[in-house]
Amino acid sequence: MPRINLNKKRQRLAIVNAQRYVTRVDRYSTIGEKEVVAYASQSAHVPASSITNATMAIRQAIEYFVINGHHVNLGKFGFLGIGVKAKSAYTKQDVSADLVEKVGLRYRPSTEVTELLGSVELKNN
Amino acid sequence: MAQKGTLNIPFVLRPVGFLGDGQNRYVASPERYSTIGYNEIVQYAARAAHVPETDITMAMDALYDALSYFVCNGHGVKLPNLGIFSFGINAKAEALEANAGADAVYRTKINFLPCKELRNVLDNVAITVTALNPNGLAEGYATKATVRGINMKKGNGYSSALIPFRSYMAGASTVFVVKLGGPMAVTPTLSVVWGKDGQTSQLEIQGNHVGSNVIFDMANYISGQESYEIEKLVVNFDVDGVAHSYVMPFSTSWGEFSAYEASLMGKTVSAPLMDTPESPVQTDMLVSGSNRGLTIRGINCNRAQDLGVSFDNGASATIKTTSDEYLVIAVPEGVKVVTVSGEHISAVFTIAEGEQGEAVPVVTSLSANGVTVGNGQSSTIEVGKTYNFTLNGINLDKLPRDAQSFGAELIAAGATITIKNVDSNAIQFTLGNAKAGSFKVKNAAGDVVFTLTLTEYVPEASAPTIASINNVANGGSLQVTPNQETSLTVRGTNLTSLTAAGFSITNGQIVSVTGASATQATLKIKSNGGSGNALRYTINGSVIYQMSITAPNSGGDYNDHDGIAEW
Repeated sequence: MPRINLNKKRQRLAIVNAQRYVTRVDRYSTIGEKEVVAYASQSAHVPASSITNATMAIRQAIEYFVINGHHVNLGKFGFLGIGVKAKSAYTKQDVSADLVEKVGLRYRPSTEVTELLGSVELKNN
Repeated sequence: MAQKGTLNIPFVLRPVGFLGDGQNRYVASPERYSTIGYNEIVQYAARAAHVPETDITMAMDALYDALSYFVCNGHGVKLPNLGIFSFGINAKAEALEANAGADAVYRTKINFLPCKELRNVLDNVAITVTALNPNGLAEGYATKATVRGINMKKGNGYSSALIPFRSYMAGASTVFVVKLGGPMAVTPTLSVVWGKDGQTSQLEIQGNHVGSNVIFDMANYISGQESYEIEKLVVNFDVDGVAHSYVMPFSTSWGEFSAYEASLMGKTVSAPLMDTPESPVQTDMLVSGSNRGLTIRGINCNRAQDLGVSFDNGASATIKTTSDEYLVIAVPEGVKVVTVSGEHISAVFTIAEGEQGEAVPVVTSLSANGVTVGNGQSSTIEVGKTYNFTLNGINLDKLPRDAQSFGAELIAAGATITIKNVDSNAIQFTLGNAKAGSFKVKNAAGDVVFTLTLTEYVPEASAPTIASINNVANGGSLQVTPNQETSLTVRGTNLTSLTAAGFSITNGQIVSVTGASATQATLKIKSNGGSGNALRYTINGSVIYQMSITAPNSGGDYNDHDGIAEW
């Protein structure tokens, strides 16, 4: 059963202006691209070059569709789409492109990922 | 090279609770067009990167296995060309340590940090914003809308970008989907003209906005058992109070190429596709310019094998189709005539160019008061009057317009020419104190490019009538001493409008017409003698008086000046 270790840390929270215990994930290391590809290649018997080429092709597809306003279904991984950070306006005359502060990517997990998360055991360190 | 895209971000008027004032605000609500399915993504990626679809699918499955293994065990996973996935939680901050930890966690999630390339891709996106009222209709921000095409979907899910002309049957299961560009102020209506049993009727269908599409559902208008042959589809809409109407292009059969517009060097000819499919538009266009791409717009342009394009030099036309909606044909240098013929369109483009490929001026006609005359023709004018003329052609702004190059002969005769307006296709000018003669236009090299002969027009009510000349009635004969100027007395009515230009003599010259009153005038002529000599007066091309001129001592023995023979 997969397991995630949790750490507790006491720190000052400005919003309440007091000390609180904050729970965080004990993250080990980030598995680099080469290791991920090597693992995937070995476990699925897919050549590493194919994996790299495939991800490059997928990224191109994401770029093409997302910049034109579409959401992209990445299968088991989930969905990628556009997220906007913008100010509001009182009147329609005030509505302009200047209100838009940031346009970014938004990720939404798939059902498989959501179910996977539900099977993870959380353990305090 | 970075890709560029366009995002439409509507700002929707809605109440914003956290502001606490209960008022409405225009809040950004990015327009999401559609979710591209996983299979489509894989297909697109396979096509774009020339990677087999199976490889992509297997690679993605393998990466998912890696992700699920490492991420759920506390590692971050960096997927190539995508980004970093890591495990995340939402937990309450607790005052007591015992309450913190796993018990404080209320949500688990996967965090995704896109790679640099994906983060930067949105830097190349153009953003348009629209203010929408709660109904989703744009308020006053739509200034232009274009209909991009029509997708037709039958009830059984079959879809095509085509509608066969006069052969398509529409039933209750038919849904027309029209894709519109730009936000719309109002929902457009679809006019469907159809025939049944020889009767033609028209139906106005209201559409429903779905994203950037407008859906017209026939089920709301006809019963499930009926079907009709569609003859015409027109999309009508208002933009800022201005009505627009767009006739949807048809094809004569399913999947066939059909052209409705041809353009070359800025000149466009559009076919009345829907109205007279049996009689395509035919036009001769005089064009010049540097853009030698012949653009044909239509539907199913990627199947344009039947389009007839020919050049006058016999060169073959290479049709390159890059889109369903248009194709471009390169016109080689040296080609002077391009002929386009196809479904519902027929056009001839005549190219006017100089040796250096520069556009040269070509004058095609002169027009005034709705009357148009061509090069080398003639027209009548009333002497002394003022006329507003328009010289027609192409590249006319390159014509010199000084007195030596523009109507020099008329100016020398006493007329005045005033240029009013000049553009590439027309020169508007006023001819004052009009004179009979030749109106000639010369180019910069001094060559005459246009000639029009102006003849005098005399209104019939004031036309002169000649009763006699030197008491010789119409058809008579008069002796005139050759090679000397002779004065003749003209008698008749309306002789004040008598002109020397109206007189003609076969062998000799008309010197002048002077001293004209209503009933008498003096005509001076000089005869060269010889036989068959005749004096005539012509009005509007008709001879109103004629007499033969003879020399003394001809036709008998005359030895004195009184004309009485003496033997």
